[in-house]
Amino acid sequence: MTDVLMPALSPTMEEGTLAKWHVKVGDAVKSGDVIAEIETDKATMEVEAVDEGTVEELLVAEGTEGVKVNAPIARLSGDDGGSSAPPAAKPAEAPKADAAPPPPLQPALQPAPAGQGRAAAPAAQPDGQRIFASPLARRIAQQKGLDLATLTGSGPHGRIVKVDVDDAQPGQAPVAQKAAPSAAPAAQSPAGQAPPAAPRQVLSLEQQGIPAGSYELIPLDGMRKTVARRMSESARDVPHFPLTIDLEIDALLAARAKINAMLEKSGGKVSVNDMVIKAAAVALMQVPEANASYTPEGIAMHHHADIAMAVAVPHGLITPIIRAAETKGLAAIAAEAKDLAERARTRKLKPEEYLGGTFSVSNLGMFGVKSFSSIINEPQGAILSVGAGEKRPVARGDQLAIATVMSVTLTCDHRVVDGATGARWLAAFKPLIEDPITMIV
Amino acid sequence: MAREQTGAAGRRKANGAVAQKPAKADGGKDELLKYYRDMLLIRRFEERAGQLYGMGLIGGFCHLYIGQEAIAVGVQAAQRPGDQVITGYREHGHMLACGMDPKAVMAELTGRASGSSHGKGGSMHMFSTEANFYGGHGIVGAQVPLGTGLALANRYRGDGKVAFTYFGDGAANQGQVYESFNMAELWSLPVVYVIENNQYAMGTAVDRSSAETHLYKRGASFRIPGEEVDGMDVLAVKAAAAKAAEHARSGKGPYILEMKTYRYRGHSMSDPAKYRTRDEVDEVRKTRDPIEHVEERLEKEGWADEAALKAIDADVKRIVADAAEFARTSAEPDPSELYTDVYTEVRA
Repeated sequence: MTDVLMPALSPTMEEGTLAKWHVKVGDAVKSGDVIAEIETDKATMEVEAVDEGTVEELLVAEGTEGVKVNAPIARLSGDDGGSSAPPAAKPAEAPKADAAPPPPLQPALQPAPAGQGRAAAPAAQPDGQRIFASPLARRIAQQKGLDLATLTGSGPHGRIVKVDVDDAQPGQAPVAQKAAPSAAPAAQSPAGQAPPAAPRQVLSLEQQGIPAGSYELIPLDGMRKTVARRMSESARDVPHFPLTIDLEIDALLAARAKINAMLEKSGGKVSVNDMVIKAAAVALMQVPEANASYTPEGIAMHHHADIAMAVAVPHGLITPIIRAAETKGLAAIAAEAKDLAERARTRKLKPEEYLGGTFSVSNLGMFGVKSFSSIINEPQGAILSVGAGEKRPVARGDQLAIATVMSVTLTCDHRVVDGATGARWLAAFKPLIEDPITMIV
Repeated sequence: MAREQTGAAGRRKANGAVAQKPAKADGGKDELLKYYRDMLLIRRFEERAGQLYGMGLIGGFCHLYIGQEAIAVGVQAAQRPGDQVITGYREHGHMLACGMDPKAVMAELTGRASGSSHGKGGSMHMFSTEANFYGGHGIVGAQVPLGTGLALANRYRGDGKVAFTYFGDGAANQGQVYESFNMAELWSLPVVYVIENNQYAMGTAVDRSSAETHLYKRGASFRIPGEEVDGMDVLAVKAAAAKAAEHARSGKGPYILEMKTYRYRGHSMSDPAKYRTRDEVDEVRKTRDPIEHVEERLEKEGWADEAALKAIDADVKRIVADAAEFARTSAEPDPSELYTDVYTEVRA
């Protein structure tokens, strides 16, 4: 009796998938017969029998992944002995291959569903035939969402080359048609219009395993495109780093209650966010290096604190600006913020009301978010992310006390706001919030 | 390297005796039985080597000779004692044909101290001057100028030896091959170039990489005669090799033999061989196998019955199993071996 062992097909292989059996129990095999196909991350290879004999038992089911090299995968009987590999210890409860799943050697792993692991093979036709295409053509086709199988190659032996994919439109490819409907219009914008910023080319959802029809496609509107582009550029190009501190806001809440009681008659109302905007503006005056923009020509030190406030609107967000907030009182800031937010939600802001700005405040505290780190709104040097005010235990000396605490995170553009600068700004901001009377000094 | 090769010496003598008979295409009973046994030894050895590789016992690369056995065995049969052999890295079969002990070859594959290169050469770098085997070379085509150099030495010494220099269809497109051809013909060096054309240079078919696919014609511009040989027929190989060796030995210069052959396995153990179909491989195995070809002849002539062939097969299997066991159980080289055989000692 001879065990057939899982072979190593390369110097580094440690395990592989038993993709296919070419023999079944009772088959006679001799040297050189293909008995199985083994799949590694690199290739699928045929395994040939070395010993002669009859297949007595298949120890690993077809499709089993993670079969360790040298694990017995089958047992042959009838070898004339002496020349075979020593039989390995029989694995406990080895099920027959035609019995149901759990593979005997790797109980933690389930046999792969048929076809799994092969789906990723690039540009294979359904019948498994390789499509010949140049690497450049493959890349362009991937970027354009083209299915190579729908193209005809004009290169040597029908190889698909660059010119073939350049000429093709994604609409020609049935796969791309549904999954990437916006690609074609974007690529065909009429001459004269500003060319759209090069969209980052990604695989279609279908190529990523999400079939068309399993989702509703909402067309990209201008705001979504702008948000997508600006945030992608910022996240990619701006060296972000966050600084987080905790602020006690009991005094601020008490002051707000007092102010609101005063404003009640005039119908005005001040929110915590308004007070944050005011405090931020004052802190920016105290630490002007944080009120700055990086430009290739130099650092722009802004004269005023134009505070952009992030406002969530249906299907997007926009950042209207409180200009020169350091010069305005809380009541004025509150009234302006309310007006801007309302018109933002109905999309009635004028461009000059949301373009520009030297610093941003984003507040998710109303959703109970404790702390987060925003993406910088270029060309601003920093953005403040405001979390929820909540009662938390705080240490006062050696005593435990309860205070209303709010965590804020300053995300800085390291090209212009260094760590110490950001920290100094937070150090200026903290007393303004914790002792709000200082805001009016 | 001074190593004992008593077994090898014995075999070499036997080979030499065969080679000294007048070369003719038709082998007699004993001759054919010997070829059968030698080819079977290579095949079983390589199958076992493939298995040991699969078990992780052989490090690095490993290129099997399965399918091409008739060439090493047939050419060896035409050699005289002292003739040299040099080839590329698909060389296990040549070493066995040269008469080296299968144990020492297998132990070299597994990197053991008892291996023919003390376990430091591995599959691609075997060497044995005792067996007149000048390597196992890892650089494609690099053995061709070296083999030509062996021939130059032979000519210089006037010892009547011939250097058999093997290379593949892939190496046939290397520039240094043609520099060698030129010098070999210019100086009438006693070298036989044996091109083992197994149809695929790694994964590239000959007609995809070669403008002139008849590789035996590659010496034409150097005035080197060449001929195409059925590399799956051990007797045809031996006859052609004898003719070429006679040409070289008589001072007429080099000779090119293009052996049309086929390897059954991938280029190396890691080659899934997707560049050809399984049907193509099966067709060659079924219709052109060099071992089955001899087996049929032996049975047809009544020189061996099934029992006799089985006995040979069992004997070969035992030799290979012993070699594998030896290779598995031998000690690895001592770390101090790192510092030996690195430099040649220069005598004052």
